[in-house]
Amino acid sequence: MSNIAKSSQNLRWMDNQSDKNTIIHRINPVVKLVVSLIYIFTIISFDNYSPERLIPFIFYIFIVSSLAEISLIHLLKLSAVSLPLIIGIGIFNPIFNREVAYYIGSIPISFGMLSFCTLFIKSLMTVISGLLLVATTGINNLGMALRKIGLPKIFAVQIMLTYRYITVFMEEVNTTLTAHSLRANNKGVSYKSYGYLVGNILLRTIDRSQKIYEAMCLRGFHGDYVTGKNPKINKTDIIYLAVWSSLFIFIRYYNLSQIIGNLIIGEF
Amino acid sequence: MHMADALMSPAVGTALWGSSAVAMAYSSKKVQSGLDDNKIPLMGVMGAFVFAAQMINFTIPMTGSSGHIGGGLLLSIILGPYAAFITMASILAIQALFFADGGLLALGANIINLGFFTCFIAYPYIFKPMMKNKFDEKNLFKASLTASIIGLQMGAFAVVIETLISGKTELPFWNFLLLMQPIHLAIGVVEGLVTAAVVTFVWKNRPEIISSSFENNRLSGVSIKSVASMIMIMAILTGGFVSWFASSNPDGLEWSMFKTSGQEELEADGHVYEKSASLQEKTAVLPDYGFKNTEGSNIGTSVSGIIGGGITFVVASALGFGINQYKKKNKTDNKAA
Amino acid sequence: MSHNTIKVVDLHHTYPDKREALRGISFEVQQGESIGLVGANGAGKSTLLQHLVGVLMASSGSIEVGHIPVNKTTLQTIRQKVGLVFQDSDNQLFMNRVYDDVAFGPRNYNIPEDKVDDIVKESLNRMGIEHLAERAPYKLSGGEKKSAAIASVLAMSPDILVMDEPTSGLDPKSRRNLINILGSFEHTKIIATHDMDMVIDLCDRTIILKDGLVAADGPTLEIFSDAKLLEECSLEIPLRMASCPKCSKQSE
Repeated sequence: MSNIAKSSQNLRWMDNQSDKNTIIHRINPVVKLVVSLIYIFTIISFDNYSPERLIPFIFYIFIVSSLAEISLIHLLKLSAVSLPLIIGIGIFNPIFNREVAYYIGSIPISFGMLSFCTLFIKSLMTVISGLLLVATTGINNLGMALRKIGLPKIFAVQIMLTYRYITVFMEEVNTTLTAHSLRANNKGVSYKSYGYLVGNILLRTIDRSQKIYEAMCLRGFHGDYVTGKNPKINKTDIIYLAVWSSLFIFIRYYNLSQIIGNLIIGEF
Repeated sequence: MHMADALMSPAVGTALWGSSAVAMAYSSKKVQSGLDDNKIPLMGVMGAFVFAAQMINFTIPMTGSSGHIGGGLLLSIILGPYAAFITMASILAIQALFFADGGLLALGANIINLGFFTCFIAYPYIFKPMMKNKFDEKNLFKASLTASIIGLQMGAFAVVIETLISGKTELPFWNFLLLMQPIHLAIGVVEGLVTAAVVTFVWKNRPEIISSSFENNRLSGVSIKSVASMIMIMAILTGGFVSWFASSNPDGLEWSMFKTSGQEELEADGHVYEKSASLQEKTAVLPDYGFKNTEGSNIGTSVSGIIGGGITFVVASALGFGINQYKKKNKTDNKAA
Repeated sequence: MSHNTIKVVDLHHTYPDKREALRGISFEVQQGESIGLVGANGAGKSTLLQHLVGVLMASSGSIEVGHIPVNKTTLQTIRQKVGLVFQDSDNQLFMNRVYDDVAFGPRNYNIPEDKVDDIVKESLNRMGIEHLAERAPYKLSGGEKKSAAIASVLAMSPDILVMDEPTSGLDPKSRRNLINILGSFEHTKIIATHDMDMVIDLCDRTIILKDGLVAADGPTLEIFSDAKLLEECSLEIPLRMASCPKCSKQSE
């Protein structure tokens, strides 16, 4: 049940973040989506053994999150969801690949360690960039952006409708579970009760959909779900797109960390 | 299991997104050409329902653990395969976007793994045929269980293959397989039981819901031809992208087959490691996909890379911090003014 | 002007499970009238409301709105004339932003977007909720949701407003706010409700339904002071009138 409370809180937080009005929030949603996708794509195109090459990508996250006034700490907390899987699978890397890549002083660094480290960094960066996109864009703009990049309209419509009613249903499930727990004497939901509980909610769901359909028809719905006008692309958007994508591609091919490191070592 | 972006290679991610897009386009056409306008709000609330229902865990007797519904099969039974597929896709999209459960580039893969196999294979070719003879509680139970288990096994297997081809984990194929399949067997059993429980309830209380969707779905069946062509398209896309990436991007791809000679290995940890290492060599699937890559990355200069990386990180965080402070100062200035 | 009248003649409705919800309802409504529709649960109020917007079709009998008969072919016209406000606002607000919900109706009629903007602003203004335009529905209170739902119906510019339990679940302040706003509307209004005090405030005429039939149809105050009639219909004298010396004397 605390699952539900936590999820509602998450959604609410995301919604509040996307209501802000910073320069990042004002960037065209399609542009933001494309930049995020390029970011993720470039990151996962790296090999397994050069975690240091990934570090410069953190510029995007630090700069965008501070310009957009989104708390990085909170994003980190939200991204914790993705970590168990990555750690669960990634932890096998140092176990199965123990060939030494190089030494730092007298400490051997194995390929396995490198690949685990790389996996971890990639995961954190990709997940946070995704959350950053949503926190600066909001559900309505996201739906529009997804349609603009070519996904079927009904898919975008379904995302919007599902999102709209998630909170309503979570509330219903909460109420049902509370009612159950008040009479369940500390036991969980048994298999038998599950059918009744969830089945009842399902029936109410289907009835509700009929009412919503009526509401739509009464306001003129005849099969084509209409939405409003689309925001235009302006100079700022183009600059945003150009700057970030060229930066990502540049960092992809030039090992920035190494260049800087060489400079420093060269100094000494 | 939701695939993460970091576990995929660009090739695999793109290929699966392509396949997903094809399946979604086809399904949208089918849904829109259907007769019922009222499907649209139904799909939406069913999506929200499955989302919320996934938060109800029930206790599995004798194991002390809990399980919850996945949704693909239930959705297919109520909505039909095409609408169910799109609904699953929208649920997965919201999970990826708002809950960091599954990556954005991996969304395509997740839609295939968790949506395609249940809606387009398990439901039409396992569940429906098993229910053809008689629609009663026992049949429902058996069909639901079988369809869920097989659907989830296929999805889990797909995850293993995708991860293998992406090459981001050093986990050998068999080990990963033996990890994934049993877990998803258990999940499949849970899904089957749960779906059966819910559908039985609905069927007993409002049978017209089940029978009407069965009627509709019979008319808009999933033809073997369409499923086969979708699979073929996916295979072509996967093969195409993967080989294109391999040929055009030699640096950093996990295709290198060189094992360095003359490099020391860390001291083996004893019998267990030796045994598993030899077992791994004997049973290695795709033994050519060696992960011990030294050609691609420049190891020798990596120490300077680490130093440079550290400096970069510091600069980046300083920049971010600076922007934060600047904004805060602006706000207090404005307040004071 | 007769284009905002409603004429219901011998309306019958039987549900698929053989339940007879309406067993011969007849009444007429003139333009600008405000009618309270009361009755016990199951008396047929909601069913009747759904007929007025063509969500349900008559088993027998007829309904005319502005001399247009309600049937499958006239639905589009009828629904532009008659707006129904649901009891559960969550079913009526299905977009992710109040603005989009209010704009949904006009957009479906291909009205150009700048005109839509004017209509939305006007409807929100009418309900006093312009500040909620960008809000997500799940963040609204019960009263705000009800106002938003009504605004979304107003955007269709109906001449007749039909409402199903508008004050149910509202706190006293929201309730009073809603009653005041509704009182300022010039639309023809039919309000199905248990809130008898609201009926006194808003409706000069009241129809009582009992078991699918019209049990009474007349001036509100007169009907509400007939204790015997109210009891037969499983209702009670409204609180406000219970301590009124004149009314309680009449019921003795």
